This record gives sequence, C-alpha cells and structure tokens, in this order.
Amino acid sequence: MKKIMLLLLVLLIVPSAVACDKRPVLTILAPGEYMSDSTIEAFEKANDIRVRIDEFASNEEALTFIKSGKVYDLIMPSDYALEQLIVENQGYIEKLDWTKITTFNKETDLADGLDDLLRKIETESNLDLLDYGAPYFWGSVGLLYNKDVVSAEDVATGWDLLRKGDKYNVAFYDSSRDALMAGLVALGYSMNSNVEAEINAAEQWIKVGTDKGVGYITDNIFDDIPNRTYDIAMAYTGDAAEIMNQMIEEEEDLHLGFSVPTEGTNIWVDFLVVHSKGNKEFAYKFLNHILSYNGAKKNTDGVFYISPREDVRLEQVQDAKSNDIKALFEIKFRPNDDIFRFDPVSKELIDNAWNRLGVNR
Amino acid sequence: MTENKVTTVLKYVFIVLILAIIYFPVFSMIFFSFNANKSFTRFGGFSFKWYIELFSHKQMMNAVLVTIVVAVVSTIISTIIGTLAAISLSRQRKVIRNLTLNATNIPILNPEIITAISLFVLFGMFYIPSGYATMILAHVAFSTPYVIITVYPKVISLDPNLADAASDLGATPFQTLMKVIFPQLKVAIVAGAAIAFTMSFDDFVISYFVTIGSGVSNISTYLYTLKRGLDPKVNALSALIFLVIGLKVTYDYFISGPRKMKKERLRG
Amino acid sequence: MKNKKISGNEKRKQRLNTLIISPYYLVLISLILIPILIMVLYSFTKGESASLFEVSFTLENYLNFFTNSEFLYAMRRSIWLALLTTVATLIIGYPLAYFITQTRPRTQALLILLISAPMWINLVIRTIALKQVIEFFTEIAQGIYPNFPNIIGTNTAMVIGLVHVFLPYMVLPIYTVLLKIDPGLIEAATDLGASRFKAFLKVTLPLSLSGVMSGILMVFLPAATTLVIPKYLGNNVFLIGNLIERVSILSGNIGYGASIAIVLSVIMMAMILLVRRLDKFKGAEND
Repeated sequence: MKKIMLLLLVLLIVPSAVACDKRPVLTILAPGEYMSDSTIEAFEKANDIRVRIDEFASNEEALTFIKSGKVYDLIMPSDYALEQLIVENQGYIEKLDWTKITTFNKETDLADGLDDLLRKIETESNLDLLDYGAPYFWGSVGLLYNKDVVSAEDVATGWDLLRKGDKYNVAFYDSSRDALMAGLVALGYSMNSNVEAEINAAEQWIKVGTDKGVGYITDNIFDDIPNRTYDIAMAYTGDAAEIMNQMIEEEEDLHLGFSVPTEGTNIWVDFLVVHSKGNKEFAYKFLNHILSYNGAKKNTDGVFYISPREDVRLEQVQDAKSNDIKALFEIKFRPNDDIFRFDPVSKELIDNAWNRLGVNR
Repeated sequence: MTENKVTTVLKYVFIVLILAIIYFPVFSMIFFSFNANKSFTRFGGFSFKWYIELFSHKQMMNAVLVTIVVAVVSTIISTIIGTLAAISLSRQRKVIRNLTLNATNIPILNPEIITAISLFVLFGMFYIPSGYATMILAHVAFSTPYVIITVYPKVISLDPNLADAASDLGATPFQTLMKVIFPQLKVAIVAGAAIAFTMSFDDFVISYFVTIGSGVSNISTYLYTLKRGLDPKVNALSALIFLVIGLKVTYDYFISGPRKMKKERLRG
Repeated sequence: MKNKKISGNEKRKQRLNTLIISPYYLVLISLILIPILIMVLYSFTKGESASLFEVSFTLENYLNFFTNSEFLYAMRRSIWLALLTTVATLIIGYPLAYFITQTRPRTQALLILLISAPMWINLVIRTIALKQVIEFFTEIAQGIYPNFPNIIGTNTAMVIGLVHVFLPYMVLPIYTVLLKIDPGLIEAATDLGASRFKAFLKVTLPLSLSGVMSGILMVFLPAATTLVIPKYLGNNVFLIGNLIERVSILSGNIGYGASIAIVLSVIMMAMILLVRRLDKFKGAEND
C-alpha cells in the first residue's frame, strides 16, 4: 500500500514541476501553432500574465466550443465565422473599442491588399468586420508542388492539378470548405454558392479526382511535403512559405513552387475578437501588444502568414529567402478571387457533400 | 510420444509468434525513441534527446499530469462507490438487485461513443464547463460499473456466517463492514481498482468528448488532437509508459507471485 | 409471511445498506441514465442551439439518416470491418487461449500478463506505433516492388490495427472460461472412447461458448464504433464513429449526432439480445 502511495507521489511530482504556474491567465481560443513563442513570451514578461491558448482545429469546432458556453478572453475566428457570430447576435462577442487600441491605426497601418478585402465585404453587405475584430494573420489558398516532379503544363491546368492522382501523389486539404471551394471555382461557380446542384457538381468534380487515389492532410503537410510523400498539396500560403523557407534553411534539394489557379481562390483573414464574458482588461492589453510593431514583428518569428501591419509585411517581403516565398506575402485580389461568407444553407450543403466524400475514402 | 512433442513445440511456436507480433510495434517505438533523427523508419544514431524534449515540453507533461491525476482521483472515488454498492446489492431484495445489476451493465455494453455523446450533451445542457471536473465525473461514471462487476461476485461468495457471527458478538453493522467484510474483499477490491485505473488512464473517446475545447487534455486526447502528425517525443513517452508497465508485470510475476504461493502454502 | 421481529440492529443494518448504495445510485441516475434519456430527447430535435429548451421537435434526424447514403455506407463499412475483426480475433484468440491453458500454471500467469499488458498502453499510442510499423514494412516492400500499394488507408490496415488492439479482449474471456472447465469431463469423454479432437468438439467447445460470446461482445461493439483506427490507419476515412463526431462537434448538430448514436445503440442491443438468445439455447442443449 505504502509503496503504491510513494510511486504515485513520484509520478505526480515530476510533471507538476514542469507544468505549474501561478500567474493570472489570459485565455485565447485559437488554432494551434499560429502564434510565435517569442511574441507570447514578450507579452508574458511585460505584463506578468500567462497566455493559454485553447486550440481548435476548424472554425466549426471553435463555434461549437463558444456556443457551449465556455468563456475565453479572446477568440480568433476567420472572416466567415466572425460574420456568423455577428449575424446570429447571440451575445458571445462585443464590439471592438478602437479607442482602447493605441498601437495600431486601422485607417493607415493596414497591410496592402487587406484593406481591399475588408472594403469588399463592407460594400457587399454593409458590414465592417473591423467593428468587431482586430485583424490577425491573413493569406490565401493555393497549390504547393514539387517542381522537379510536376510538369509546368500540368500546373497550368489550375485546380485540376488536384485531380491528377493517377500521375502524381496528391493531397487535398482535409477541410470541407477549402476542398469544395476548389471544385466550385474550377467549374465556374461562386465559392459561396448555396445552390444544391452546383455543390453536387463540385462534389462530383472532387470525386472523379479522389477516385484516382489521394491523401487528406492538414498539418501533416509539414512532414509529408519534405518527405516527398506528396508531390502536390492544397495549402495555405503561410504553410507553403514555411515549408519553402525550411527547405532553403536546411539546404534540401527540393524545389517547391506555389501556384494560385487563375480560376480563382479564397482569400481569408483571421480576427482577434473580445469575448463578451472574458477579462476585457487583459484582452485589450494583449490586442495592443499583438498589433504593435514589436508584437507583430515578433509574431512573424516562425509563423509565415502575412502580417496585418503593412510595415511588418514589407519586412516579411524583404526577408523572404526566395522570389517564390516573396510572392506569398504579396496578395493581389484578382477578379475571380473571393472571401468566404456566412451562409447556413451553403454550410449544410457543403458539410453533407464532404461527409459523402469522406465515407468513401 | 514424438507426435505429442511436435504438437507441443508447434503450440509454443504459435504462442511466441503471436506475442512477437503483438509486441513488435511496442519494441519499434522503444527502438526509435533513442533515434538521433526524427524519422520513424530510418535509424540515425543513438540519442536521448527525445526524452529530454519530452520532459521539457510543457503541454505533454501537462497531459501526463492530467492523465495521472484524473486516473487516481476517479479510481479512488469509483472504487469506494462501487465496492459499497456491491456490498449493499448483495443484501437487497431480488427485484432491486437485478434491476440495478442490469442497469449497471448498460454503460459496460454501450459503445464508448454513445456514453461520450450522452455526457457531452448532459454537460452542455446544464452549462457545466468542460475541464477537470467533467473529466473526473465522466471517468467515475464509466469506471464504477466495472468495479461493481469485479467486486460483486466475490461479495456473494463470502460466507454469510462470518458477518452474522460478528453481529451476534455485538458488532454494529458499520464495524462488521469494516472489520469483517472489507478484509475479505481486499483482493477483489484491488482488482476492481486496477481495472478502474486502466480504464481511466487509457481512455480516449469519452475524455475527448467531455473536455473538448477546454484546454484540459489527457495523453490520448492530446495526441489525437496533435496536428503535426507524428512527433518523435511520443516514442519516448510510450517507452516510459511501457517501462512502468513492464516493471509492474515483472513485480507481479516474479515477486508477488511466489510470495502469494508462499502464503498459500503456509496457510496450509 | 413470517412474523419477523425487526431488532434495532436489523434496522441499522438496513439503513446502512441504503446509505452505502446511495452514492452509486446518484452516479447511475445522474451520469448514466439521465444522459441517455436526454440524448434520446435531443435526437428528436433539430438546430444548433445547446439548450434543449429552445429547439423544435422533429423526426427529421432519423429520416435523414435513412436517406443519407453516406451514413448507411459508413455503417455498413464499420460493421463489415468489425465483423472481420471479430472473426480474425476468434481464429487467433481461441487457439491461443486454449494452448495457454495447457501450459503450467506459472507459465499461464506469465503469458496472460504478457497478453494483457498492452491493454495498459494508451490506444492512441498503440495505433500510432502500428502505423509506423506498417509504413516501415510498406517502404521496404516498395523498395523491392515499386508498384506495391500503400497499405495505410485500406481496410486491410484498419483490420490489422483492430485485431492488434482487440486480441486481448477476445483471449481473456475465453481463457477464463476454459480454465473453469473440469478436466475430469474431458477425461471421462476420452475414457468413453472419444478421440481427443472429438472430446474437444463435444465437451470443451460447447462449455467455452459463453466465454466466446463475451469475447465477441467485447470486440465487435468497440471495433464498429472506433474513432482512432480510421484516423491513423485509414487515411482519415469517416467511419460511423467519426461521422457522429463530425456531425456533433464540427457541425454542431447534436441532435443529428444523437440520432445516429441511438440507431447504432438499437442495432447493437439487437445483436446482444441475439447473442444472448443463442447462448441460452446452447446452454439448454447441454443440460
């Protein structure tokens, strides 16, 4: 009996020693590996507050957490998820008080291209997302591919490159929205379509491709592309930039290219939003930090998405180790590009289509 | 005679083969936990670095801590509740006893995902925030039935005369419980506690559903939600877990085994 | 009815009895029975609200289930894999248990410990380990035959994983029951002229059936609803467990998830009753 007690004591002490921390906590609901350690440490040191990130794998999951009543200080939804929270108006978030933000001027400091995106939403539906959220990282979606293996003509086929599973090792991003987006846009429809026939067509488009054998990945792209497990993967610009950078730093003999199909792609932006029931004082302290030049600059230490601050973005362009990587920090809004919007009908159709595809893998 | 020998050898070969197949992945993990590079298929030299990284990785250590704390707490609670219930059930009327035992079978036979969803729904409905509390409650909920079905058979096999004798000699029911019944049940109680601990330590589905979005994760849920694929630190962690289990198995077999047999021989 | 004089001690005994079982009743009712009831109620609701008091009642979830091809497909596939797993674990597990009973008691104890020890390692860890091993062998095979297919992602990989994980759950119940069989019965059979094989067939096998049934139940149900195996060994395919997870958590449609879970429950319960009936039938025959 005593021996068991002793063993348990030892088992408890070791992990506790590592995990114990008595400072007050700021809780952020955000995707994992999406904030650099250096910016978190800088904030923690300056404010003596511990930052805890509760991770979510997708916006849908995040919404379920929020709606279950769990309280956070800050949440990090994507554009369409923030729109859903605003439109549904269930009291989980509150408007952002820009007078409390002293380190960032939303009129002048916004990154090039980001303000175009936000204006687009504003003109289309009279909704300024900046009323509720402070911009965080942003980017777009494209095809990361192995230049040594994939021919230029195949790359020129746009999103159809994902359907060449018989010729190359292809991976879709395991996200219903992004995958269906490729299908819809390749067929000439809007990525925000809520027409069942169009979504079914996109589903069939994907099915033809996936029947040839594809993989479904999320963050394992960081292993699978360097390992050459896949020659082509649907990827976010930040992930692509990070992998390309890693290949150069590690002097790997792998030449990667990134193509944004002319058929159109999704451009997205994530926001930091204040939860209505969290610690507002801590929340604004953090917002001021992450939006400041220093905080934002430190955040690019290991995270390769585009900073919302123009001055930091320019430095990201400058520091890019190759032209391919440079291009990933300069997003130009083309006529066929679009942002995701909140539409419950569309969401349900897309989820069902993805489920149908998913059971057949 | 030779035929017998051949069949015996074949039988042993079969057993050893199956055991080898079962343990191959475990040994592979232990082997690669000492790998100097991060590949799981190519060995690049001997190194302890994954162990060092494991111990300094806050989140993983936190997950280990959570797993152990929840396992210990839920085991203690469910063993106490379950043992008391098993004892009480043996004295209940047949109707109540059978009803309760059948109800106790429900969580055991139910696929874990159904228990998981029902608890997810329960906690969500009453706005109970997911985290430590919900995990412990959930673990107690699924462990207690196992304690009961382990202890109950032993309870009903006890000699009722002993308990009667105790009360005849003037013991209160409480004293009878403590001094006569519990000692006789010790082995079954320990067995039940061991099962409860294993079920809790190993649990994934139920823990996943009841702690979703709370930042509290045990080893299984932490690994499942780890997005960057396979992390070599996992090899180090599993090697350590296996070491602890290996020690326990060795202890059980080599030390307490012969000791038990000694005790039995002494008893006569 | 006997006229019992209830002494003070008797009363105290009864009170103590009720007292000590009350914590369990609390757990049973609030954490086991009520959640199931709530889940049943939720399955008739639609909508993403977390509170039961704000939704509308409908049979839509159940209708959707039977018309949505993906769920029926996932259920068929899950049950098929579970069936393969159960048969495989039986084929491997029964002889294993049997051979173990034929060794010395000390060896038996060791072998049983060895077989059950992996159950103590987390399922997620074991599955990850298996994935590594399968990938390792696939790589070797592809080095020799470049056209060797990727095993990860196929039903084969998932069944290998399931058998690997659930083998102890089949071996242990069978072993426990085989142990209880009186060797005298077998001796009697062989004395009466039956060959060893016939003695096995007519005596050992029928008596061990209850252990086999336990094993089947402990393997089939969890194997059909597993979340972990499809994620790591199945290329993230959606089996019925994953669908429930996606629908409840990712889509926030708890009612839908609950309805799938309940249909699953009903199917499982039906199978359990069927198995129990067979068991009783066999048992009656032997008497």
